[in-house]
Amino acid sequence: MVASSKESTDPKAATPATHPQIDAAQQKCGDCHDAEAKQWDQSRHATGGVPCLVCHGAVDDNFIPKPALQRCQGCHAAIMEAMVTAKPNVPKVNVCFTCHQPHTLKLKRANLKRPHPNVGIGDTQ
Amino acid sequence: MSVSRRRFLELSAAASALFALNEAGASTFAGQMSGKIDWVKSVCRYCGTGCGLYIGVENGKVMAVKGDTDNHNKGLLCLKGFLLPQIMYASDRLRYPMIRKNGKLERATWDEAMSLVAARFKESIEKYGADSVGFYGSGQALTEESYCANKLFKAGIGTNNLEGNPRLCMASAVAGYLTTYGKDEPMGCYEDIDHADVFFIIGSNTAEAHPILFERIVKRQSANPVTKVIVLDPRRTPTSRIANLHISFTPGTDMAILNAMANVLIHEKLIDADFLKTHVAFGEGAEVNKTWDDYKAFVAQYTPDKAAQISGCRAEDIVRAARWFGDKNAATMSLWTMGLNQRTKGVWANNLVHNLHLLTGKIGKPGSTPLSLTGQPNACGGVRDGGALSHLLPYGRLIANDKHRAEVEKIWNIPPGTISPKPGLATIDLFRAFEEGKVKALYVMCTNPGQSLPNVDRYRKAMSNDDNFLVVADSYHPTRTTELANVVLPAALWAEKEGVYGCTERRYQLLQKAVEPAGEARPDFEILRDLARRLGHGNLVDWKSLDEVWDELRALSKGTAYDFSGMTRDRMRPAHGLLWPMPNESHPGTKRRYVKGEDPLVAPEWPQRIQFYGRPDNKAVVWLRPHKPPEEVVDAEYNYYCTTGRNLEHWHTGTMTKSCKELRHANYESMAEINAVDAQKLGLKPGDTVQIASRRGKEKFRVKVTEFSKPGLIYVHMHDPDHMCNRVTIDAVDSISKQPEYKVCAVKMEKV
Repeated sequence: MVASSKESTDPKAATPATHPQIDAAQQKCGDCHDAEAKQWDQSRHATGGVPCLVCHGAVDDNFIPKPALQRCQGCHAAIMEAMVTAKPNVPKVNVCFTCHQPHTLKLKRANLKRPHPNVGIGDTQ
Repeated sequence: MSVSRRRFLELSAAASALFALNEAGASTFAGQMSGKIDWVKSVCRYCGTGCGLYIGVENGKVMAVKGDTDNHNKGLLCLKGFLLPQIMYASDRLRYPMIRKNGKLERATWDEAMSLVAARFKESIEKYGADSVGFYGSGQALTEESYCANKLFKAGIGTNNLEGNPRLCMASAVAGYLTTYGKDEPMGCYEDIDHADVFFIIGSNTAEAHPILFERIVKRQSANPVTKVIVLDPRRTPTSRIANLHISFTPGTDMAILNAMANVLIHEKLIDADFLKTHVAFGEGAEVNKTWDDYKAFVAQYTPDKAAQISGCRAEDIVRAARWFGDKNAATMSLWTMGLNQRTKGVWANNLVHNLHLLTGKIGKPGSTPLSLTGQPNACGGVRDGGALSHLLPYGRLIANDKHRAEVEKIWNIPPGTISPKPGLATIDLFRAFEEGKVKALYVMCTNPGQSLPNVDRYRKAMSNDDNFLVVADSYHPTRTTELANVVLPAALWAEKEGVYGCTERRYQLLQKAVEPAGEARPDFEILRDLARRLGHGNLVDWKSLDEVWDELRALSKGTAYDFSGMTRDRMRPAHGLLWPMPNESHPGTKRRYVKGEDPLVAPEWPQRIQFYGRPDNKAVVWLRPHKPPEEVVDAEYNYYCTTGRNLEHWHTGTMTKSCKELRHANYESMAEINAVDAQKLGLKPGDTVQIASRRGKEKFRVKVTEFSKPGLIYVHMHDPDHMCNRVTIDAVDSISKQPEYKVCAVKMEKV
C-alpha cells in the first residue's frame, strides 16, 4: 500500500473512515486521496519509502484518520522526547504538527529552521 | 529526569501499550499506567541492520519501544520495529511443550518433552551413528544459543551436521569475501554511507528490507546533492525511487553487466593502477594464477553491447553506471543482498562486485567500500562468526583444518581428535539426508524451514515422515514447521532473554533481558543445555553465567581476524554497539578493516595504506568470473521468470509480523505481482486468481498488476504461510556456498 497520484474515480466521501471494504492489496491510498498523495510525494517520507500505512495504520479497524502522537513517536521517539523536553509549552499532542505540515512534512513557516535540539536522523528538512 | 520528560514517556508508553495490548486481548492499559516505565537497552529483533532501541517495561510487560539515540540508528526505528511490543503477546505464542500423539500435538510437561527428545536422539546415535542426527539453527538466535548448539553437536554428539538458515541468505556473501579477501565479513561500516558520493545498489530492495539504512542513504543524498544512486534490479522497487539510474535486466544476467562495467573502467582509464599493482592478484576458478593482462583479455569479451544483449538492458546505461562508479573524485559504496546471494553463481556475482572496488581502489576509504547487507539480526555474529555451520568452527576456523580443530579442542578442554574432521551436510543436503532417512532426528531452532526452504513441499514430506523425528523450538505455534513436528518446545522470545547480536558492520551488541518468558517458555540456551545434560554432555555446557560463555567466546576469537577479546561483557552493557576487531580492553573498535591506523591487525610498520592480511600474499583477488545463466531459464512451456523477495511490512515467514494486527492487514497476502503487459496478454484483472507452476510445484496467488514488475517477470513475497512462493522455487545451490537460487526460476502462469 503506497501512495499514488492516479486520478480518483471513486468519491472519497463514500469511503468510511474504517475502510472496511478496501482491498489494500489492490488499491492504493492515492486512488482516492489524490491531493494527500501528491503532498506526500514531496516529502522525506516519500523519498525514504515511508508509505501511508506507517502513519495511518492499515485499513479496516486499524485505520487512523488523524494520526496522533504515538505514530510519530514510533519512529522518531528520540526527536519527540527532545522536543517535549525543550518546548514544555507546546501541547504534547501537537508537538510535531505545530511546525510540520502533515503530508509534505515541510515547515509551516519559513523561519522555523532546524528547531530540534540534540537529534540525529530526521532533523534534515 | 524532568517532569515534562517523564510525562512524555508515560504518554508514549501508554500509546504503544494500546497497540501491544489490544492484540493480546487485554483491556486498554492507558488508564492503568502508573507512570513507572523501566527502559531496558536492547536491539531490534528483525533485520540485520541491528538498530538500537530501548524496551519500555511496566508491571513485567513490554509496553513500548523507542529508538536508541546513541546507537547508529540515532533513535530512528522502522514500522516493524516500533510495533515490536505486539509480537510479545500474540495469541499464537507457544506457552508449553507439545508432543505428537496419535497424529496430534498435545500439551506435555518439559520433562516429558525433553525426555522424549533425548531418547530419540540417543536411539538414533546408538543405532545409526552421530551423523544420523542434525541441527538446523538460525541467524535470529542469540550468539550464546548458536554457540551452545555448536559445542553440543560438534564436541559432544560428534557430528558436524549443524547448520543454520544463514546458509539460505548469506553464504554467498561469506564465500565472496573469503575468496576475494581471505576473510569473511565486510571491511566497511554504516558510517561510510555518510561519506559516499555514489551508491551502487545491486540485488537489494534496501528501501523495504533495510529501511533505516535506506533513510541514511536518503539523508546523504539530501545533504550532498551530487550523490548518484545506481540501482540494478530486474524490478523497479521503492529503492529505485531515489535512483539516478535504474538498470532493469533479465533475472540472472547481472554478471554480464558487472563484467562489462569492469571493461568500461579499464577502457576509460578509471582504474587505480598503483592500487592494482600493490594490492591485487588475479585468479580463475579456485586458483590465483592469472595476470593483469589475462584479466584485461577476459573482460574485453564483455563489451557493453554484448552485456546489454545478454541482459536486456541498455548499453549506454552500463557505460554510465561504470563512469559514475569509477569517477576518480567520488567515493563509491556498493550495497547488495539476496539478489546476488540467492543464486547458483552467487559467489561469483559477489566476486564481481568486489572486482569493481579493487580495480578502482575504492576500498578502505570513507565512503568507498563493498558492504553486503544482512537479512537477519545475528546471522553475522552468531552463525558466520561463531562458526555455527557444518564446515566451520568459531571465528574463521574450518572443520577440515587439523590445526583449527586442535585450537578449538584445546579451548573446549576436550581430548584431541574429538571433533570429526569431516564437514557436515550443508542445509539442502541436510534436508535431503532427512528425506533419504540418512538423518533420522533433526532439531530445528528459531526458524521455519517448512515455509522457507526452496522447493519446500519436497522437504515438508521429509519433515512429516513418520520414520523421522523432528523437534522444533519456536516462540510461536502453529508455524508451517511446528505443524510437522514430533515435539514442539516453547522458546523464550527476544525481550525475554539476554544475549548478543552481531549485525552487518561487525557491530556486536548486548540485548538485555526485559521481562520473564511467556508461559512455560525457556531461552533456547537453557533448552539446549537441558538436552546436553540428558545426552551426557553436561560438562561441555556447565557455564555458571552468560558472562562465562562470553569469556569463552572472547578466548576463541583471540588471535583470529575476528579478535574481539577486548569486548568484555562489562564493556558491552553500557555500550551502544562495538565494532571488532577489538583486541584489547582499551581498544575503541574498528570502523574499517585492513586499513593502517584503523585496524589493529595491520602492523604500524606496514608500508602501505591497506593490508589484505586475510591472504598470505596480503593481496585481494580480482577473479575472472564469466557470465553464467541461472540454473533454470524460461522456455516455451515455463515461460515466465519467478523471483521472490520481501516487503516493508513483514519479515521472513511472517510468524512475528503477522502478530501485529495492522501489519496483518498490510501486504501480508503474497500476490503474483505482474506487469500490465502480461495481465493484458493473459486477460487477467487485479484480484484474479492464478496458478503459478514450476517443474517442482505449484501455488495459487491473487494477481496484483504493478509497474514494479517488468514484462515476463512474476514477483511473489516470502512472508505468507498460506500462499507459499517456495512451493515453486528451485533448490539448486551454488557449488561453492551451497546457497539456493531463490531469486530465479522458470514458471508458467494460468488463470484459475
